[in-house]
Amino acid sequence: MDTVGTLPLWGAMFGGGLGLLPAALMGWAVRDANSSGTLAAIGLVTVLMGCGLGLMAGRAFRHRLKAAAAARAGRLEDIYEDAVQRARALLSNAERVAQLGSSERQLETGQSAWSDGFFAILGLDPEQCQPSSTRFLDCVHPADRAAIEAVMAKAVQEGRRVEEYFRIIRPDGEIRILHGRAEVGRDEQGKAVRLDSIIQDVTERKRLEDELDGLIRELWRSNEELEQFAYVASHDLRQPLRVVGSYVSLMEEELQGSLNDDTQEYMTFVRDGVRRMDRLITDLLTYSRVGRTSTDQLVSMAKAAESAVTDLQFEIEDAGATIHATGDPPMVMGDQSEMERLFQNLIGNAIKYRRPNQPPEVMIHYEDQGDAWRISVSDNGIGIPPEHAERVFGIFQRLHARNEFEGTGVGLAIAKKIVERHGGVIKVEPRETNDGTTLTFSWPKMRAPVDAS
Amino acid sequence: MGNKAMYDVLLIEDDPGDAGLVRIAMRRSHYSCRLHHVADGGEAMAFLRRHGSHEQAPRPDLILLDLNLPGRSGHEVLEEIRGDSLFRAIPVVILSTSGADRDIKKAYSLGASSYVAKPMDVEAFTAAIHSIEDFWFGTAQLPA
Repeated sequence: MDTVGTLPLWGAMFGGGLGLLPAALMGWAVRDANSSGTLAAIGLVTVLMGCGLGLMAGRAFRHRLKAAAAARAGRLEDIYEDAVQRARALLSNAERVAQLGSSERQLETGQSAWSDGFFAILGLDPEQCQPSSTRFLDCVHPADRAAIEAVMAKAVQEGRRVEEYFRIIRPDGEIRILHGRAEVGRDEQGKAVRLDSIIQDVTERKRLEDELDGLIRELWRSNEELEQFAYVASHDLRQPLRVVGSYVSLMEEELQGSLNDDTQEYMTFVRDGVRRMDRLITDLLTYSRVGRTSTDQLVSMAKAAESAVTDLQFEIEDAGATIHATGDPPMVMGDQSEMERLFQNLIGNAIKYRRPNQPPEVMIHYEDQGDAWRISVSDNGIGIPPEHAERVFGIFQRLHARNEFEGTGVGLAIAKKIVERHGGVIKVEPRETNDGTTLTFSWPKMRAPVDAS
Repeated sequence: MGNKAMYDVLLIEDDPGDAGLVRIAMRRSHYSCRLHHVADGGEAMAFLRRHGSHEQAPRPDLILLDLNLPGRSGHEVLEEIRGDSLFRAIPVVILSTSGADRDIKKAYSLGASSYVAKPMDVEAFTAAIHSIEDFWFGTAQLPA
C-alpha cells in the first residue's frame, strides 16, 4: 500500500525530471541568445508541466492498482464465503435427509451451538431461539427428561459414548421419538472440552418397528394356537375313534359266527373307516409338527437316506425294489429325523406308485450346485401327469382312488414343508420320456436355520 | 399267579369306553384284580383319602391314570399323588392317547412309574394292559 500511496510523488518527480530535459535542450539550443530570463521561465514551465503530468499519471495508476487489488481480495473473500456456504448447505441437506441434527456444547463455558437440522427436529426457529442445554431439555418429554439429563451427565463424567431413545414435544404439541447419541470431544491434550451430540428423528422407524413387533406377536400367537389345535386333535379326535374301533372289534368277536356276508362287510367298512381316519389324524399331526420339535445340526444325507431305506425294508422287499445312489451325498445343516422322513416319503412314494409287474428302480442323485445341493429321486413308476405337478404337494391331495393306491395325501405335503423349512425348493421335474417320476429338492449350503421353537 | 391273591387297581379315566376296555382286558387276564374306576382327579383323591362314599376304599396296588381328564389334568393329579407322602409309593402308570413328547417327559418328571400310549386297536390295547399287569404284579416287587 505504501508504494502505491507514494506513486503520485514518484510520478511528479519523474515528470519534473522529464520537464527538465526539454528545458535543458532548449537552453542548449538558444544559449547564445540573450534571453536567459525567458529561457529560465520556459524551463520552469516545462518542469512544472512535467511534474503536473507525472502527478496525474501517478494518481491514475495508483487508482487502477488499488482497484485491481481490491477486486482480487474481494474474489478471495467471495470464494471463501462460497465454500463455507456450500459446506453448510451440504451438511444441512445431509442432516435433513438423514433426519439428523447435531450440537456441541463447550464444557467450560456451557455455550451451545446447534445445526439447522437440530433446530428443525426440535421444531424451533434458529432466529428466535438461543441454543442451550436447558432449552434442549425443555423440549424433551417430561417423562423422559430425567433420564436424558442423567445420560448426558454420564457422557461428560465417564467420558464415553452414550445413546438413548426419548420423546420430545414440539412447540406445536407434536410428540416425536428421537434417538440421541453423545460423546465427549477432546483437545490436543486429551482434555474433555466439548459434548458433541446428534439427534435423529426415528418416529417413523419406531412406528414401523412397533407394527412389525405386533405382527410377530400375532404370528406367534396364531402359531401357538395352531400347535394347540394339533395337540387337541391328537387327543380329542383319536380318543372316540379308538373307542369306536375297539368296540366294533369286540362286537365282531362276540357275534362271531352269527354275522352274514352283508353284516360282515359292514363291520369291515367301519373298521376300515376308523383305520383311515386314524391315519389321517396322525399324518396331519406329523405335518403340523414339522419344524416344531426339530433341532438343526450338521447331518449326513447319506445316513438319512440309509435310515429311510432301512425303515422301508418291508416295502422294498415286498415290491422287489432296487435303490441306487449316485454323486456325493453331502453333509448339510438340518434336522436328522426330518431328513429321514423326507427320504422315506420320497423313496416310499417311488416304490408305492409303481407299474404293475415292474419292480421299482429308484435312483437318488446328489449334485453340487455351488450355493446349494440338488437331490433328485427318480423312479420308473406310473409318473405324475404334468397338470398335477403342483397339486401333489397340497395337503390331503390324492391323485388315485383308494382301491388303486392307499394313502392320505399328506406324504408330499410333509416333504415340501420339510424342504422349505430348510430353505430349499421341491418340485416335480417335467417328464422327458413317459417313464416314471423325478422329484428334486434343493438344500442351501449356508443358511442360518429358521428358529421355529 | 403273583404275590397276592387279589390286586386293587385304581383307574382314573373319564371315558367310559376306555374304562370298559381296561375292564374287559383285566377280566381276561390271569391275575385277579379288582378294578376301581373313578372319572376325575377329585374323585381319585377322595378314593385315596377315603373321603365321602369312599370310606371303605382299599389302598390301591397300582394306579392307572389317564392324562386327559375333565377339570384337573392327569399331570396335576399325578403331582398331587406324588406330593402326598401317604401315596407317594404307589406305582402310577400313565395311560394316555397322547404320544406327544412333552406329555411323556412331563409325566416322568412328575414321578410317573411308566407311560403307556393307548394302542389303537383292541387286541393291542388288551395286550398293553396285560403287560402292565405282568410287570407290576409278576416281575416287579410292590411295596407291602
